[in-house]
Amino acid sequence: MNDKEIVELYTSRNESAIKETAAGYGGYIHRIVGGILRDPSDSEECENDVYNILWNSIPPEKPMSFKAFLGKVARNAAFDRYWYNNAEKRGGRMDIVLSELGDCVPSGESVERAAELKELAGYINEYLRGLDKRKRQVFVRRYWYCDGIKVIAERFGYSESKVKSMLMRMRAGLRKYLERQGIAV
Amino acid sequence: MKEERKLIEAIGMIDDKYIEEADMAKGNIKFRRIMVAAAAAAVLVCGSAVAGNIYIARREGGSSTIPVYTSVADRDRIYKDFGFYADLPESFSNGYTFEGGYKGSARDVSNEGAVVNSFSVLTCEYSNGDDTIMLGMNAEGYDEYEDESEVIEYNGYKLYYSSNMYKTVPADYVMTDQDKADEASGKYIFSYGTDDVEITEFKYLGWDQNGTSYSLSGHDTALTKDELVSMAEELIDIQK
Repeated sequence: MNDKEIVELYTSRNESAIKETAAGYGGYIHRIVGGILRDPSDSEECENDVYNILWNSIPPEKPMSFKAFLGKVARNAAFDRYWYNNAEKRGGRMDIVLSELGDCVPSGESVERAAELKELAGYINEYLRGLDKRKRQVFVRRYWYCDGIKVIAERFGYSESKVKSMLMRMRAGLRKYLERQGIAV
Repeated sequence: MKEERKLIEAIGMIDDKYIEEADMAKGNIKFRRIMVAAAAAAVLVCGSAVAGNIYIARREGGSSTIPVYTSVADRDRIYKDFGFYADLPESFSNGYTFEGGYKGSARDVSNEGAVVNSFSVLTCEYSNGDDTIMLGMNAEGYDEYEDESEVIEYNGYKLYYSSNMYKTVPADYVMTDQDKADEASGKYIFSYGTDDVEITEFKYLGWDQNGTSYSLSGHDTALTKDELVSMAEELIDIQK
């Protein structure tokens, strides 16, 4: 079943939409959620949340790219659970990912959150557009999919030190780019 | 963590195309030169030179001589048949008109000879008088374009242009010492599958858009680089 047909199942409120999504993209959802939440029971609950969110989102949403849409739903659901679970705890693997990104963000002023996030996302898109494809893929694998350094190195055939070096340069580049735009988050 | 959380949430909102692009990312394969299957020729193998990297592979492909589309197919039909979306024009503004669409297959082969990936390709033929060019499409992307490609930007997409001399030879052709020297010097790129030895200039323009890889290419085509770029821009503009 193709994506358009799956979306049509959601739109017509046919419950087999969930089954078809799981058949086609269960592994993809599992990998995204599992990359953020390491606890298996947490991941399983979160994956169930993802299907519920999809069911409640389509309609009114009509995603052009169903895979990218459900990927975003999965990522957001996993991070929501992560923030909730880790409100007090610090030091986990995701904290390392987050602390790396902290280097990119000029500190200081604040603006309205929603507008700020949208603006920031727009600038990140601009920054990504200027990167070579391979570098962009590495950046997105690390900071969107939250893949580990070792996993990225194996995927691209790079050494771990090369991946770290690429990420460090891109973070520095992103920080400079955001500073030039006057972004302070 | 407050600032980092904002950034991680903003990264969660990046364009779908970058998410899809990273999802398709594969390692251990680099292509120095890529050549699309010429649909109207007999079933052929696209020889692509092996680059000097331990991870290097070559991309091979073949295409049927029998068209699967005798008229332009819509994006849903293409998705059903090939697994990617593409919007095709009946004709380009410079007069090149759709002649047929051909299904082919391609595979990526490691330098140890192992097939590491295989996929379908759609090659559409567009002609204007005696001149024909190929519009190639697949969902696999090009991990690396050849280093000497010229990069042209259009609406945020990077178009990679190259022009090389190809020596296309029969499948059972045995390379001479001069051939080996010519290949080593970069004078010719060798490709296989024609009945006779042919030397042609191969112009190639490739780009990725929304998870689909496109290429416009032709042997001894009358089209200039700028004309190929204009056609690519037309294609980019009509994609939904």
